[in-house]
Amino acid sequence: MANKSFVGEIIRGIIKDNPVFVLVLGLCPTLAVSTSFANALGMALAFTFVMLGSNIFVSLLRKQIPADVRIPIFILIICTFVTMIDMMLEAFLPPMYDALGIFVPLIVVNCIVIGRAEAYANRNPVLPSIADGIGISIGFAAALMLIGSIREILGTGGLKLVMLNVVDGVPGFYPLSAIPGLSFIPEVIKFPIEPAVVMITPPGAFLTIATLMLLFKIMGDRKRVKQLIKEGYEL
Amino acid sequence: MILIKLTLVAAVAAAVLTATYGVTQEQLDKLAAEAGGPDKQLLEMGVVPDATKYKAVSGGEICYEAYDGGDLIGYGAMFEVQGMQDMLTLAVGVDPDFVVTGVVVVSQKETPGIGSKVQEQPEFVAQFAGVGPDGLTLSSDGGEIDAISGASVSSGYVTAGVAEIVGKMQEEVS
Repeated sequence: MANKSFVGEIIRGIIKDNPVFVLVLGLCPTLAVSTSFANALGMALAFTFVMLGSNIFVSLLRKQIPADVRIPIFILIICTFVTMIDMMLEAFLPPMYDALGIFVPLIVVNCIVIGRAEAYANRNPVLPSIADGIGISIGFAAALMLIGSIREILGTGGLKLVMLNVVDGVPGFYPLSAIPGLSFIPEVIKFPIEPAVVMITPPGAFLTIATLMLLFKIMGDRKRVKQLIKEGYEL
Repeated sequence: MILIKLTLVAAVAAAVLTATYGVTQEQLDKLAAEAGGPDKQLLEMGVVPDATKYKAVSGGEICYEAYDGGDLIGYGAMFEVQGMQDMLTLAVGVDPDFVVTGVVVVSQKETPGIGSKVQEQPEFVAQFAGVGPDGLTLSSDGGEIDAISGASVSSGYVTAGVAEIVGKMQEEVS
């Protein structure tokens, strides 16, 4: 692992090991929360906290964790972080807690976190594990927001771009137009299409994910074919 | 050895969570104190539009009398009722004849993007205004409330919840 760079590990998590499109993990929360851009962003932020916390602690304890009971210990660590962020959001950021609602406790059953604990953090030192956590989190966030945006546009005919911001001392999700200098962006960007409600229902999520996964696969295969040709294979 | 390690991790997790709980609970109590009691919240939500003051019904549990100055103009209540997945908190206001004047979905944990529309689409709860106790069912069941298309189950729970709260208020007042 020593020859792998920190940045390289992050990029691997985003593209080559993209949790949703390549590892095909965590589809349950992906289907459930990718109904809109705002939901996807909130889930991604809470997920990042848990992913990093879990990877760091599993990695730190990896030499102490007995192999026989590693799964219960991973789950204990993950649950602790999920419960912590859930309680802290409720107390200190109530508007965001209301916006995220059920999504935060759902991270407990997110198999990406436990998957990375088992496949990566349990076998690697802390620094690469942090890089892995960052990369996987960005990869998950990008996938969620991409799916969320597509479903929101096709399902409602508009896209509401938001970001985490503090307005009048109250943290929460606000439209991009609330930021000085960006007020030219409309709160809801309208698209001239007939909205199809099916896209914001679960079948719409399957359709979107399947299409995106196909694109990812085609891109990956093309790259591999090029690589093989370069190495002198006749095709 | 394995048992000791497992116990150790569990103990540390419990200690961390206990500490977090202590801190957050303190903050939550502070927030609740700032928000005021149900009477203040009912006033802020305006479920009985002209009310200027709410006073608990004597002997009641959830029902508040709504006053405009010195005149009794209705009743308000905030209560948890069953939703599709979890509890819904609804605030309901009625006039003295128990005709609904306003409904607010205070909190809900329905399916995001689907059932959550009962809170996100104010047109839905606006339908309740002017509906008497007998009309508080979905139009598909012969009532006066049109379900949100695609969210008929959650719409049904909200409607049943409003009927339940109005019923409780009638009981407590009489």
